Amino acid sequence: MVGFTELRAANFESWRESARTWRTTAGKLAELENTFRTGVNDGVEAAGWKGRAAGTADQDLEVTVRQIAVSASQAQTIGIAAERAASELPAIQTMFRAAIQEAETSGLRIVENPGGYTVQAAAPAGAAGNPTPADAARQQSAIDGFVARFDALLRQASEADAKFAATLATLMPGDVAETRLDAWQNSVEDTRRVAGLYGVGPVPTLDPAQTANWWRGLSDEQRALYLAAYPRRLGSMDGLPAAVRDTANRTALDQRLTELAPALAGGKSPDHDKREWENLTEIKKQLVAGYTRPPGRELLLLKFGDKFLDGQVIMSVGDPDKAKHVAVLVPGTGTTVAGNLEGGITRADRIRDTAVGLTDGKSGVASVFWLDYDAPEKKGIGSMAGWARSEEGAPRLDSFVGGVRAQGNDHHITVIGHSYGTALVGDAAKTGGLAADDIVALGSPGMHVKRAEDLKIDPGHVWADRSPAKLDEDQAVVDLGSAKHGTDKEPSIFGIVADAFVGSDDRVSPTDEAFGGKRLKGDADGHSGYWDTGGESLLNQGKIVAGMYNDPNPLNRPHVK
Amino acid sequence: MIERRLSGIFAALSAVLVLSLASGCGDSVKKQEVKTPEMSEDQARATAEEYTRLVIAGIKAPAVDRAPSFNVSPCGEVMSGKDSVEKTFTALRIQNVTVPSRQQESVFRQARTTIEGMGFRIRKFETATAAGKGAGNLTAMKPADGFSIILQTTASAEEVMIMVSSPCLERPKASGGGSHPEPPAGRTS
Repeated sequence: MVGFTELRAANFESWRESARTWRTTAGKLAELENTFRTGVNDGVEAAGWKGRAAGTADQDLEVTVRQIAVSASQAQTIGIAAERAASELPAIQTMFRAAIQEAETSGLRIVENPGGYTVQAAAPAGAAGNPTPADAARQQSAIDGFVARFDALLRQASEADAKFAATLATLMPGDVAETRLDAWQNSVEDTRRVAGLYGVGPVPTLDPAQTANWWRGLSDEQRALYLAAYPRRLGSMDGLPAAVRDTANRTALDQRLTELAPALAGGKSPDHDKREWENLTEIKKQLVAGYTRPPGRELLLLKFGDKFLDGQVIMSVGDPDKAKHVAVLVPGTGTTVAGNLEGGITRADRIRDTAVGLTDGKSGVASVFWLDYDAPEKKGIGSMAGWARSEEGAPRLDSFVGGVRAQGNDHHITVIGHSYGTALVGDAAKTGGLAADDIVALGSPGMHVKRAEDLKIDPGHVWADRSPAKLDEDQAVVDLGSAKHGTDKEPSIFGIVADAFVGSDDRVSPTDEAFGGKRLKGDADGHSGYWDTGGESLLNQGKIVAGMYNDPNPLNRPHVK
Repeated sequence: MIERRLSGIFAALSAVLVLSLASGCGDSVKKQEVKTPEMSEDQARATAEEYTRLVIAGIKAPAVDRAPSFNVSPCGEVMSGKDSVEKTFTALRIQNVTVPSRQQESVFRQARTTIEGMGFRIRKFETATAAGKGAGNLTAMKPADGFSIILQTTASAEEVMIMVSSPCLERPKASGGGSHPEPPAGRTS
């Protein structure tokens, strides 16, 4: 409990200095972490040192960097708590001193003692020391009023002081410099406790638009505490600014890798953890490689997860919140985080580079690789032919695109599906929940609708391309796949067989004229050739992403049949 | 329509058969073995820069004040999960120049002459003026080294994008026996 004399006489300048020091320390540690990541790690990679010793060195470096990251997180939280205390307590002190002055002006005398204080009348009430009972009652009432005010302010001061003391006790500043690798879990739990002291947390469950508003309504301090206490949760929240999600996810990724590492090292890890480790390690590898990217082409980690063995990831090239044009790529069958993230980023790079070249360079283009669903396995005909994977993932695509839209900036958003990914885009759009301006279907077996207009978007903004190559994978996917995906109700296997015999005319691919969309005239060399550099298919995508289809000159529009 | 659909299905089944025969498991098609040209990343960059410089000199158009981009990425099917840029890569360089809308058509015609003179074969060439705005697009490839050039009027109608891309290139083997003759390629701009 804060005492009367303590509150009246305290000098809080040292508290402010302490808060500044903690903030500076946190900043320096974050800088140090960055220096390690960009300098030392990249140095090892760039030197081409790939031997066993290099692997060991990498691990040691990673441990060091994570220790620094833990310390930075703790120092930042302490800094926030110290700042709060350094601003709350002086305000309470000001009110306290004003009340003391008021009491003294009212003819009362405050006697301070080690056990507390008493408020007395400076002179007997009433004239000439001869108080009437009414005078005495008034005086006592005034004394009681001031005592109540003093006690209330002392309580407030004690609460603020206790919160700060609890923060220090929880985060143990003395240990910050010696944080162990396994301190991540403790760090996050501790930070949540501290955040709770300040009324921060848990994170609410809201739709993307509500999430965007919720975040805008928070103070800087609350945001910092949420980021420190709930990085994993914030990282996957559609509607938050992309930069916030990236920061949160990078923290959460380090945290999760650290959690997984001891079990893997001991050989006791179940298969799920091993697969998750492979997926997360690949994400980390791409992020580290991305440190050298120039502004505008930087990588942002917008989500990662372990709901599926093949992993989940959303990675953006460029910040979608700063871009006028945003492309979202939904890959198809056989896509996994561990095996295909680098390739997905390459596709995103090429679309972005092309679209940037076609714009004025000021409006900005971001390109997002969206793998937040369990893409069918290449060798699993059942999952490839089924609708379950696309239907399961579609609501998350709706939510993600809605989150980009919720950031404002009058985005022009193009969702580009490839192969099975187009079926997912169809499922996402046909409910009317996909907030895209344009939809592109590449090598599509069908979009689970029969007509472009069923995607609840102007058919003039539905684009489709297929490879002109014959007898290749693209033809197999489009023509055979349409038996299963080129309709609006999932056909049973018996229905497909019956249709084959009867010759059903019911199946429609997006590249069919009957579908009613814009049929692109591309030159993709096979099912995966839509992003070949120097190709018409990639140029068409760039033009759509850059919104050039309304150009008065037809040569500037995408090339259509 | 039914006949067309059935013939499509037949063709698709043939495609599956071809795929199976080609790869054994249907994962990918093994294309005809072609020797990949050998070139370092620096050489590829220099080549792309030189082609761009020659085009700009030929059409006499000033470069915009934005930095050109140059990036390398894996060859072929980038999603195979096997390719990286350590041994082979493809390069892409993009630079824009300022060309007033009314001069677009004549500049594209001049570009065609220039690019043909550089040994490229024109694969596509179109120009047109609509609503007072000129535009064009041109695609060319140089058989001697496999590099491609695309010229395209941009959204602003006052610029032309010059995109130069390389074929798949193989990094030169190290002369001293090391496995990394040069730093692994990053993505730079």
